[in-house]
Amino acid sequence: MRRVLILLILLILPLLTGCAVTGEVENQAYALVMGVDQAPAGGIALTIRIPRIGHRDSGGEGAVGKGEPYLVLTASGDDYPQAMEHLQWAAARELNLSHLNLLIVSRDLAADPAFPALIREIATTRHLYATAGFVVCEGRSGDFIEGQETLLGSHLSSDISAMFRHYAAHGFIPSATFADLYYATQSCYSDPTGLWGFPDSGEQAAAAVIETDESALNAQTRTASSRQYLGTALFRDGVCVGRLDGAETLCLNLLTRRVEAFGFEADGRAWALSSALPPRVRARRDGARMRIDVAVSLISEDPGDPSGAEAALARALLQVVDRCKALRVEPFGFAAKAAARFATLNEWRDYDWRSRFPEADVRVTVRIATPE
Amino acid sequence: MRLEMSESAASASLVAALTSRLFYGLTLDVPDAANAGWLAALAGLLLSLPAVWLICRLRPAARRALALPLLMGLALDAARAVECAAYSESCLAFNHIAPALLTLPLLAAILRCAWLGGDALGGAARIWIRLFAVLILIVILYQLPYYNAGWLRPWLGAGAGGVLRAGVRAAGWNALLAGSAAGICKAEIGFKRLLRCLLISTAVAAALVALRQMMAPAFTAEPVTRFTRIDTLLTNGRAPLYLQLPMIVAWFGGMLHLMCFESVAACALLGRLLPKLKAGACMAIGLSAVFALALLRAPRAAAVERLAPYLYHALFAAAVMLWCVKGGEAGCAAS
Amino acid sequence: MNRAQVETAQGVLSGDLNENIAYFRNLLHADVNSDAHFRPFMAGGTRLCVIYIEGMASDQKISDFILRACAEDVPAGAGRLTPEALMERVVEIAQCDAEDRVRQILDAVVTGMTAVLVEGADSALVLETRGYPARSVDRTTNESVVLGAQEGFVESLRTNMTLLRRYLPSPHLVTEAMTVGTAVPCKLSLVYLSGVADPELINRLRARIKRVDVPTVMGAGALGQLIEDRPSALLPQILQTERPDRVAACLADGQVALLVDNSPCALIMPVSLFHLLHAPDDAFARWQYGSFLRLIRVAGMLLSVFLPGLYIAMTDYHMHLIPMNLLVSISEARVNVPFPILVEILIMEFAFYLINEAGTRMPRQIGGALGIVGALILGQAAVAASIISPILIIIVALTGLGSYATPDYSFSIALVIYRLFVILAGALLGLYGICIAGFCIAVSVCSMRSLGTPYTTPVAPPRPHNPDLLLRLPTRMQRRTMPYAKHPSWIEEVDHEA
Repeated sequence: MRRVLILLILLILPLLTGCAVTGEVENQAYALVMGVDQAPAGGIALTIRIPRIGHRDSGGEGAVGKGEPYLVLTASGDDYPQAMEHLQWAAARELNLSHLNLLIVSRDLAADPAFPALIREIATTRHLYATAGFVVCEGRSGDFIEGQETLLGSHLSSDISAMFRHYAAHGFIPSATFADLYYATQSCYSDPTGLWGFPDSGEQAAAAVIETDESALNAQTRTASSRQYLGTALFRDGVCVGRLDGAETLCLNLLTRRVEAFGFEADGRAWALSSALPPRVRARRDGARMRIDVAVSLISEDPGDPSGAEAALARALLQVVDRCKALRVEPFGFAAKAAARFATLNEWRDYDWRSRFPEADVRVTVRIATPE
Repeated sequence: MRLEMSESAASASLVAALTSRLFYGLTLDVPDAANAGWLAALAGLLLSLPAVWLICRLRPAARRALALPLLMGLALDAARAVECAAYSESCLAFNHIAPALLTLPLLAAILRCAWLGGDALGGAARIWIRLFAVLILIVILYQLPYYNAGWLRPWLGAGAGGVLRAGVRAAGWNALLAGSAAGICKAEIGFKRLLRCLLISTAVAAALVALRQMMAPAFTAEPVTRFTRIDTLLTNGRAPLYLQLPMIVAWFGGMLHLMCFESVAACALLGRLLPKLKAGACMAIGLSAVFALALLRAPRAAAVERLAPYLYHALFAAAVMLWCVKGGEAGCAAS
Repeated sequence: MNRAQVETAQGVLSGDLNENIAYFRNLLHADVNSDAHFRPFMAGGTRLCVIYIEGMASDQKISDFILRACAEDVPAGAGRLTPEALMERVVEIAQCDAEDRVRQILDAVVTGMTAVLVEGADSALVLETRGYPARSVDRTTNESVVLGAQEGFVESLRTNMTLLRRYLPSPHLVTEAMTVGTAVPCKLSLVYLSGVADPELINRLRARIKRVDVPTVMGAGALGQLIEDRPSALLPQILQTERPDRVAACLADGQVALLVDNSPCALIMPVSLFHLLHAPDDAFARWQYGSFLRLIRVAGMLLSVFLPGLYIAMTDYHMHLIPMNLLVSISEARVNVPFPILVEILIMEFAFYLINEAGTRMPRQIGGALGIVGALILGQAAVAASIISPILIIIVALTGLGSYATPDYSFSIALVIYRLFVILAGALLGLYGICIAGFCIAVSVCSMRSLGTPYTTPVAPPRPHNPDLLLRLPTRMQRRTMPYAKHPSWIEEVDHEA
């Protein structure tokens, strides 16, 4: 009996596996960035950037490559699956999206009413895997990707990741991943956001950086790349309806999370501020209206009376809230707090938070602690 | 080859298997409770207590008769778990291979483990529980910055009805696995001990369901496929991707314990039901049934899907009926 | 000695010296055996004959304490001598005995003792005159430690018992002499601490030794294979150690040891999986150091089993689990390698085992050359020839280091075999396969027993135990014996019984 069992196991195992179809690691085309556009002739155009394997010296002979360290491939199709299939052919290797760092979508496509369906399609046909950042860009995403000047393929990730970490710490960009976008479009909480990307022409950069410490902010945005990522793309029901510039994004971040360090100009002086904790948000129902109280606690490194700065910053924050109310988007994460005032998801959905947010009474208080 | 287990082995196996069953059941099989899956786990515990108590207090003859519904439930549930594990592997790396083919290595593993006996499985479960705790701790520590507690609100999720429906399903799994553990123990397993196992499993599963819910919100826009649910379970796209390694190990390890426990328990109960049948024959019949059900995808059949929510009702009714016909035994529940 | 001779040797001595001498000459093949000596002599008018094996017995002892003593201390005309009279009045050797069974006399002679046959007596005097050359007590070769005792067992059973008695100078230490082997008896000693070891375990071991039905047993390793619980299992179920201090510690924990003649190691039973993870000097170091080193060791062992399998699973099926920069490095390194990763790994593993095995067998004088060959073949030439990728060298080197960190030699070999199993599982089914393989290994290990006790005690089944499994907590907390000992804490119980 034992022999029969062992034989059975030995026979079964090799028959069943995917060993015959494994993809060797060097035979894959790892897409690091993917751009999605509306194709000129209708349909979807996809652009990817993949590192060229064998370009670097691997120690073996003939491994030193020449030319570009990465490839940019474009393919289009009537819809997303077809475009992806065409892209597979164009890649000449097995296309692997598991290391996708950025998903870039052109503004036109993101503003298209069909965009939510495309988000679902991308998410359900491809694993979410990596925490791919989500960017909405000016112009075509294909052009945006081609103009991205970075080093060797694999360094693309560290280059951009380092820049994103730096910007996120200073509050200039929102923390936006494709997974967040997908989840937000599929659930009933706050609206998602995307990073705003644009070519590094001086004019547009200046347009993105307004108010507060403009020179400092401009200095922060200088990188080797001719592409900039600054500001926030706003979505309503999965469709891009507007954007916030760098300063507004900083306000958005102050209302949603901790910002490690930022500068703020008020009463003729510059304040170096940081938030020690995320803002405290309280929601309560006031009849049909929701009242949201946000308490932002900041720390200043400089002594002095902060009351002027507190009031100015509170005003700035409320202006951003009003701006979002005007666009009927709620990217602040208030929904999760407001939902606690309802017993079930159905009641919460019936309340229709996204349409009621403009009526919500949002109050912001800012406290700045200064050294004695 | 001894399919029966010692009390300690049965307890460990029950905790490992039930935790896995509740977690995967409430996240994949029964999304009725939406973001209140953790509440459903707790409700399931409360609902299952009368049935488990009754099963514990049945006379041996009555308990032997109860083996029939238990083993039918176990065979189907084991087949469902086999199919789910193969499906999740297909989703993860083998989408070019039919999930049915991926079930065969699992079945070979179950066969091997059943051959080694129930106590060996219990011993492995005891070690697994420790490893599982370490893996989950790693996952939690890495995911800590990404948890969004807001996604647990509103607290009642899809509503009391949804929570209750999911709770009844959870109670069914509790009663099935706890009843089986009581049925395959060499010695009498006490209600208190079973209750302790149920409490531990429910607490861990509820915590895991809640944590998972804080990584990906309840989908309300439109119904999502099982593929998407598995995908968002194993790769939520928010935490670092290398976290998938401990998550995959925890997922498959838990599933393997569930499958093996259910299969071994089914074989052992068959032996209780038909005492003249030798252990080898019980194993051959029991595992063949599980294999056949899994390969035929019987748990996904429409009729089975329709009947699945009534598992708890069926077990409870059977226990009550046997209690009335064959009687309970006073004092057997002392731990 | 053939079967016929064995049967002949079952008899007893007759009173006729010539007949007895002829009998022994025949049994010892004295016609052709140049080292079997029969030395007849007279003492006080009685004819005697000394039988011994040259080299095994000490010529000097025979001359000084038997021949000279008989010549000087037995007066002429002293009358008929008997073995008892010789023992009481003449012979100056402490360990001597009168024996009438031929088999016992023969066994004594072939092990270096001397038999004195006496005319007219139906028994012979058997004297302890062993004087064969033996290795002196030296440092251990396979179980070296940084802290703690350095001496190891030698091939002499007597010396080994002496070493053990030095570490455990207790009246409760029992060394039961036994033999195994139906044709060529092999002496062994069953050692335990009376009152500490569970009598049921001792009886079980006795019974297993008695059941051994083979003509010869060549050393402790062979004996271990004959008495272990499951010969088909990969993991060792008996701990072999060459350290007397380790044996002493195990005996104090309630385990039982077997010392076999001509084997420089002891067999310890029962053992658990956790014993195989422990190094001898864990107990000597402070608990923080001991725990840290043990964790490193366990991590090394896990690496040794799972790392190559994980590498192949992740590079073939789960690329998303590898950070992008590393993935590009691996891909770059593999571009010119003509083999799939599985073949690449198997080539490297084979080369590694080959060098390992060659290093073990190679004479020490040319051992250095092996290092050069290994380094050149594996490190440089193979990479330059694009047979393997550099990253794989790191993987195999880490795996090898993990293997070498395993304290028990048999255990490390078992881990290597498990590693191959995991490599195949990873290659066939990715992480899914590795999980299945790991699960099967875990269940298989939990099903094992050592001397009838579960192999994963005290974790599964759970038993009260010292905090000394993966971590070793302070010595003051180590108050218990092992779960299979007679009593949970032996000191009080033994004193009480004494």
